[in-house]
Amino acid sequence: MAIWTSLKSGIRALLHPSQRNQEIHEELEGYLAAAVEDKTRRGMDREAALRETLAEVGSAETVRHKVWSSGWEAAAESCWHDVRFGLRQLVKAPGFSIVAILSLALGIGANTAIFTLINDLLLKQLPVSEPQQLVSFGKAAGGGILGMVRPGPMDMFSYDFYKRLQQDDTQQGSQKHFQAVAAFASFPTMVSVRSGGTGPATQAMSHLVSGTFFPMLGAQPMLGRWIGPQDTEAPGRNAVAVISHHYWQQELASDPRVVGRSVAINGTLFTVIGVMPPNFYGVDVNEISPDMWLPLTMQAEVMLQPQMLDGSGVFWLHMMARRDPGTSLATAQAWVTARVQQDLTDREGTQLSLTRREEISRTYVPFLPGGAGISHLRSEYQAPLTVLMGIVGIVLLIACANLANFLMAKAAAREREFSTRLALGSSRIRILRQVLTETLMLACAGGALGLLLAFWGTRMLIRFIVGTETGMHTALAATPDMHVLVFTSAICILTGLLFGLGPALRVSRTNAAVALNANARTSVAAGGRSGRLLPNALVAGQVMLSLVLLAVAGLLLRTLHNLHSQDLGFDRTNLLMVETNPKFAGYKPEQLNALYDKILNRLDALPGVKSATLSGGLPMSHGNWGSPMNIVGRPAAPNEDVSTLLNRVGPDYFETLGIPLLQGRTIGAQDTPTSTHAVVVNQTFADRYFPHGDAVGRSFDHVADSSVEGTWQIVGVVRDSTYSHAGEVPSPMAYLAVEQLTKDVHYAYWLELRSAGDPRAIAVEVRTALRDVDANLPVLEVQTISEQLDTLIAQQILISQLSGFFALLALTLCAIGLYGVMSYSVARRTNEIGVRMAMGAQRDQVQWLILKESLGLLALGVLLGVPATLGAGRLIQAGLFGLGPSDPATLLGAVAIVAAVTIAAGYFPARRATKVDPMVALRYE
Amino acid sequence: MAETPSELVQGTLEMLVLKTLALEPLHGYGIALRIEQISDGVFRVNPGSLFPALSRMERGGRIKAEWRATENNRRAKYYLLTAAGKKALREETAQWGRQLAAINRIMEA
Repeated sequence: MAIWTSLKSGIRALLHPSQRNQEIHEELEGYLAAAVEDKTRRGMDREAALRETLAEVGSAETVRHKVWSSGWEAAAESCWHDVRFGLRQLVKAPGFSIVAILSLALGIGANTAIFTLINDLLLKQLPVSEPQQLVSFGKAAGGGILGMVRPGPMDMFSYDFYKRLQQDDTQQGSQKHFQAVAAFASFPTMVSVRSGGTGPATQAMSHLVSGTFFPMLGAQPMLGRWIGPQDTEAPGRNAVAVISHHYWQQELASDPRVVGRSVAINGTLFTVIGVMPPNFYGVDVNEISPDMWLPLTMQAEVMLQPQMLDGSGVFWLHMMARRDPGTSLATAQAWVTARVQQDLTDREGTQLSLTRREEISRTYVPFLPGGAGISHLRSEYQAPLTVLMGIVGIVLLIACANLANFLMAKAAAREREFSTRLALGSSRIRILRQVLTETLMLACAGGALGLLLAFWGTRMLIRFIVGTETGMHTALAATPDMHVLVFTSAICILTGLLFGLGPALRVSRTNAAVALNANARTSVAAGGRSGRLLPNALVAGQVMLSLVLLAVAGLLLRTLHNLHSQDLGFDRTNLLMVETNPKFAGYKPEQLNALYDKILNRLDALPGVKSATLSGGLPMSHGNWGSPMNIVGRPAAPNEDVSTLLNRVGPDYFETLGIPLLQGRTIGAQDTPTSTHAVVVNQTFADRYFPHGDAVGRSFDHVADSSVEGTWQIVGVVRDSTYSHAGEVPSPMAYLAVEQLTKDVHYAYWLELRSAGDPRAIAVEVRTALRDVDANLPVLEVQTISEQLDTLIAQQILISQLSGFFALLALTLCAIGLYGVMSYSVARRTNEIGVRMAMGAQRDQVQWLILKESLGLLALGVLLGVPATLGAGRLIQAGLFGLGPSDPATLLGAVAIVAAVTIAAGYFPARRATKVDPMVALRYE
Repeated sequence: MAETPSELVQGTLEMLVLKTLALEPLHGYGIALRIEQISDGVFRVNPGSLFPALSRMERGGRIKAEWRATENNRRAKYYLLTAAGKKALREETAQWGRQLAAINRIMEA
């Protein structure tokens, strides 16, 4: 109540000051009159009474001022005065203000942009209830379908394991370890959707989840209901779907009666039962967030693959749970690990070798916090983002150093004003407050502009990370949330205080006598050597930091260059990749060979196409198909790892890709379903299993992935190429003839074409050709090989380009800083230079005098910078390729660039010093 | 007035004003006069201290002001004690008593 009255009367006083003064004046008059009357009543005569009263009361103005100061509005008003004064100062020097605000905006904006990404990927909690109670079983950073698990931490599970665990934990009588347990597919599945059962087919990303998924998260749908345990009782039974908000808006036109509508997913009719709110994106923080969630029990229909829900021993699910507050983490973790080990033991049957038993005992399930969801993007970008955060922090420091120098120079120019005010009775605090207000205003203006720049920059970064896939929604958002805004405000205030410290120190050291005598023609009056210490130190620091950034950027850019020019084992000029999916067009495996022939004939006929082929997987990708196999006549040694990478390819694959043949022949038209199953292996495979060079003619079978049936004869050996990332140790690889495969692995998803000219030029023709073959065949992706390779090294490209940009920015800021400090120094030393020249110094001697200082700063910066660079290089060593962290060429190059820029920046003020006319300088007042 | 007036601590001044107004509503000069009289000239409050204190107390809701006519038919701003002010007076009196007793104990120890 009291605060409210105080507020009201304060505001009234601020808005109607004259009324307030009038009241005080009237009351004071009354006081005076009453005092005089009282005195006269007691015997004084009127004159004396008046005089004595006036002496007692003192100055009316003082009383008025004291009453005014007793309220909060006095402080508010003086702050407002500071703000207006600061604004006037900034407007008076527009050049400086613009440069200052711009450099601050760039520094703060860069920090905010990187922090937004870090917040999105690393810190942001899932929009569910009580996210801190969620745990994920294992790191769950990657996904796929595994036939077996390796000893160590485990994060992939089978469906029957999940079902038994979940049932056992909810049994009555036994101690509950979790409030809820859920399982979900470890990768999203693309499905073909026909709204209402008819109409054109579009693609959507779906995520298969258990019936406990939504209840565990506690995420209520916006419309309808969620997928519950009653929807996942038996396979294939409940064809229900929960769709995301953006999918509802974009594809279903925000139909308010969408609940109950039918959609055909991969030919099966599903019913929409719910729509999630806009901020929900599931538990995966990745480039693509799902358009819809489907029950795990519909796996076969959704993935168009054989069932993986029975005890088939496939590990393909991630698991998460909501902890029970009454059970400790260690107890729950031990229980799950014990169950896992039991499950693995039971699976293997009765005979268990000692080594296998020991391997199983080394398998365990770590519990990691699941509140921020799981993400493969996180592990990929964690290191680059941390490095970038360091880089932009350094850029901000350099910008702050510039501002500190500039503001100190301004404060030095205002020393007469400060001394006068001090002499007139102002407190130092008052002046300090005004200077700090000015710096805070600069910081806030820079911060506001920086937020804008950051939003725009973050959008670009997200677009880069997510890729150019149109129509796909992502969980990464560019709009700043509360964490980011708090971060930005904190940075604004910190930077404002940081560079306000310099001028504030100057104010506090102001000595009125010295400053008012500033006209003396001494070098002390110009600030002296000590007055130049802090600016010089700051500039040396800037040079050092710029050197570090340049060197780091150089290392990263050269790494990128090395990656780009690395020999990948195949010819990567003029190669176009096209992704399609015959399953979406309804093709059965028996119809595939005819389809393949039609497609390849049609494509070969195109004028711009030199050769065309198809394959199951890309020549280079992060995900790979692999399995162990049994070589006929060469049994595997115990503990030998006989797993090999696999791919299925069509005729002319190796010719199209330019992979040289070393022995035998490649897969060609003669490999039909009725002839001997043909397979081509790579050099590593041949050398490992047939060291005498007799691989051709041998065979292998029992490819443990049971969908590859029969025995396969090696018909040729090709050179190794890169299968996953540059610089990897080559793995054995076997290329099966796709036309000889059956069932699910008969499907090929990628077409590779070598064009005569620019591959992009034939893209349209290829699309048309495919449409001619079958209008139902979807064209999911068309990319040149360089585009596809760039997506594999996306984070390398991101970090090297950004570090290069920021290094140049830092160098520019450093140059501006040096130029400013030197110019200012010359201006202040004009008298001294005039005296020197009058005493006989030549022009080049004067020039050298000034330039010496710049060179000294450069030398100091480089001296400090070289060890710092070596240290920084060691920090990013893991991200380098093809060169070491102390690469001398890069370091020398960085030093050369910094030296050139610094000398150039220092040269111009030095030249200006020579233009000083001694007569004018000595008369300078 | 033989003795020179003593300095009044700000908080104490507010308590004295509250006590003065507990008897009857007064205007500014009346309060100053009453305090001087009752303290036998030890405390002489000048407007430079009194009016800021009155403004603070009015903001704090302990007193409220009304413009009335004095005995001489002049317009003056009279101050009255509010319910919150009465309560504050009771609390501060009790606290003052405790402080005084404590100081006495120390001085006599």
